[in-house]
Amino acid sequence: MSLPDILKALQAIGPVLAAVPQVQEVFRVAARLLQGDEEVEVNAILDDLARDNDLGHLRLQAKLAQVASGGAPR
Amino acid sequence: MKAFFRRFTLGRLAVLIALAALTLAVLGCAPAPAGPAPSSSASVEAEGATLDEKALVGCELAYKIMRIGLEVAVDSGQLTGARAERAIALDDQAYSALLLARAAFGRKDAEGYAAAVIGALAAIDTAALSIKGDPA
Repeated sequence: MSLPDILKALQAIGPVLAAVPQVQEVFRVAARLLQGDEEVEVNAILDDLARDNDLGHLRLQAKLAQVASGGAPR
Repeated sequence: MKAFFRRFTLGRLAVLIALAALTLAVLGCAPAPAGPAPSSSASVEAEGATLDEKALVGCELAYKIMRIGLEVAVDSGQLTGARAERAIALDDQAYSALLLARAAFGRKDAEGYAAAVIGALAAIDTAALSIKGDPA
């Protein structure tokens, strides 16, 4: 896989998700990692991602619980 | 075992598989593959285990895409009721698997890390299928 492949994948996931800034950031991070950018501080990326996923997991669980019980997502 | 480790191993493989296959699966653009090719290798560069953190980044990225996909599906009204309830459990399993990978990385447990990364990617893949409504 190369960077153009990543761009194609980004296009293939559909306009709705591709337009989400967070998803675009995911691809930017992946691209930097694949480029082997020596300046990329992987540990810093890891810490940021972990924090983001921790919060995102809680938010998702709350939304899913809301709609599973018949309510509307907040 | 260390003789088999190379720089381009589980780290980049995880990123590629996570982004290429799981991203497409999240959006239902293509059937999700069975999962990443099993690889028990992790990049251990020295005694004391400098594990390839990129593999964990791949897992984190894959989980992020999956949960964003689920959230989009919820916000758009596509994921409701019983399917949402199932997604709760699957997301929780994926997240727990991700935590195991983090823990193994933190312990510098090379063997456990490789298995945990593979397990996390598989669990994330399964959770992503819930968006399509495919049985996992």
